[in-house]
Amino acid sequence: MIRVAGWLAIAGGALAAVAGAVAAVAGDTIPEWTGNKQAPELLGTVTVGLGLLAGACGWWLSRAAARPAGAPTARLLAAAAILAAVGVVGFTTVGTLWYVPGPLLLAAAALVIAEAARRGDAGASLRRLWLPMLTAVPALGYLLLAGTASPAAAAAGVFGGLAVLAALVVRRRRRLAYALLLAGALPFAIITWWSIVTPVLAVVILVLGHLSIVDARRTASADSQKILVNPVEMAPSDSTYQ
Amino acid sequence: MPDSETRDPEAAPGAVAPSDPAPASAETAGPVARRSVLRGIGLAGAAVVAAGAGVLAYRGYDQGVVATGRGPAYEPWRTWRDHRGPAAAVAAALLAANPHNIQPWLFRIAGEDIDVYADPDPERRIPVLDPYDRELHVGLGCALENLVLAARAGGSDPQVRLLPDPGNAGHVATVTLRPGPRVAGAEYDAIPHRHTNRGPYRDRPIEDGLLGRMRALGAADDSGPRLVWVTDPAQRSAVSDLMVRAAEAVTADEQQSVDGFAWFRADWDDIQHHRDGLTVDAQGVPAPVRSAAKLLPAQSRQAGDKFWVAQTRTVHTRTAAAYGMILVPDVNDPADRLRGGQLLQRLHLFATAQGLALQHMNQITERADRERQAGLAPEFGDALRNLLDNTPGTGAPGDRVLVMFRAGYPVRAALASPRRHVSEVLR
Repeated sequence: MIRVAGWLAIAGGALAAVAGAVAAVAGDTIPEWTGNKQAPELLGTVTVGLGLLAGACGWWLSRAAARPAGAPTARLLAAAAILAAVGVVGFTTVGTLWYVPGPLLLAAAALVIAEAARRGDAGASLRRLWLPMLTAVPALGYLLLAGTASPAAAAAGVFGGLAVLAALVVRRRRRLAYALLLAGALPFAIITWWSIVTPVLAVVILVLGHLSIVDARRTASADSQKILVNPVEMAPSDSTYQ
Repeated sequence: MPDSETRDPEAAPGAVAPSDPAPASAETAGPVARRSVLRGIGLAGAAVVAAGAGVLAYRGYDQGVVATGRGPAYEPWRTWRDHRGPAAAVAAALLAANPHNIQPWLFRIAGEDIDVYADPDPERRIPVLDPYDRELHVGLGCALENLVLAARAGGSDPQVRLLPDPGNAGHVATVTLRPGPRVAGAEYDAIPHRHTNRGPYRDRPIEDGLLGRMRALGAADDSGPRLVWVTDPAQRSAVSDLMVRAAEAVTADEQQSVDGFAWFRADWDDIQHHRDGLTVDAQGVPAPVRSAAKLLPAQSRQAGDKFWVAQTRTVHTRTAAAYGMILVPDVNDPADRLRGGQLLQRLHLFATAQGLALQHMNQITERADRERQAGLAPEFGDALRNLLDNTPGTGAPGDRVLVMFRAGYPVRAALASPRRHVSEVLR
């Protein structure tokens, strides 16, 4: 199932990148196909990025499916969240051109979720991912807003969004995670303080990001204790610790 | 109590944390369950906060909150020097001041001639605010001034013929571009920086020398448009009162209110699509207020009217360092209006180059014209005449007020209004 999801995601990601490139290059001449956007070049470029991200998820899923131990449930859910988010967002960026890649990515996400749900530890994994996924929402908001900002603010916004996402990935390394969180959240909010939106997003990022880091440490601590007590039963549930 | 409730929620099946008491008991289950419920509520609350942040981010994106002055609607301000030949003059012309940013112009390039037309599109009018096309012609005059400045900067000696076609009143001017020296002064450089500044002005008088230099930009005698300043505090106060009363009268007249509101664009997509009209960005309010106005649902016409009257009372009139009046021999003569518009644009560009701000304030003349159109008692028409009679230096007794504005040193810079692309205004 994961292998099929990986292929679907790779195919969907490739088509998404093509759709984005078409919108960026010819969006003005075929507005009925690209959602009649005011700035098809920008949105097309963003869509290419989204397609590459989805393709990368698909590639990772394919590799994970080939490994004997499979992929950790938490990472499967994270991949499903990314595929689902890209699958939905694309409908607002390139219009009709998304009618093929979008459903492919959503189908891939559905397959991955089905596989994760089949496992016994899906609930626990989802709880583990819940706060990072929520923190990713305002981080993605940064990326969205950066797409319309002036060059300096846009750079701060893109860097900020990516830094916050990176902080979530390394959230168990507390100092690095906090450093990335602060470096990601603050510059864009300071540069565009007058917008109201970015300072509010920064506060949400810092609060939810802090909770994610604290939760990750607490979970890691609990996991190490569990491994010490019952390493045999712990091992299959999360291959990260193998 | 089921055994699972005493376990760590993160635990894999069968795993038991060493600190856990092995068997669950009624005494320990209560606090654990409560903790679990509280954690669930906390996570749900976090989800609501994150969802709210997502909605706010999308609203901010959709309304261009951090995109002030960006997008296709604002490109003409950045790309106007990229054009070559007569199109360069047109690109400068469409950046001119004009009533309610309706951009009532069309241009036709024919060889070395540029024809300037009033756009025949009936939608590109404010028929109740400007029933006799006074402001329309003034706006076309402003465009003409920019066109002439850009033509000179491009190495032409522009020859202007006003109303060259007696059979076509919409054909307001033909500008013939003959080869000439390149002349690009401070006024030409000020073209992309000139914006109507509706914000507060500093409590600082404009130097007499500067007022005099601006006055000198008008006609030296009574043959053309002239500038008269109102700087005396008592007279300024009288003008301020009249401005506020006129603003109240405009908003009390539903048709005038509707006419004005039709040109207010609150939606960012509308701004980028139509590339005209008045916007939140151009209202001169502080940046956070501007952002809040964009994020919140669009104001109703009535709320917008109240805001305008309040701004007129507390900001526009209260902080005006001086009022300017452009006088012409005949306010009903399109040629006089066009010349008056040229002078208005010249003044605005000069003011911009000197660090001064300027705001066109048309409510008194709009009410005077409305009274005439609707057959009402000439309250503001008479007030305007009295104002002129009581203002020193108004010169020829036959002159009338064509347009009025306020000037001063700005607290904050004005932002650009949207503009159509050159290709959209060429016939």
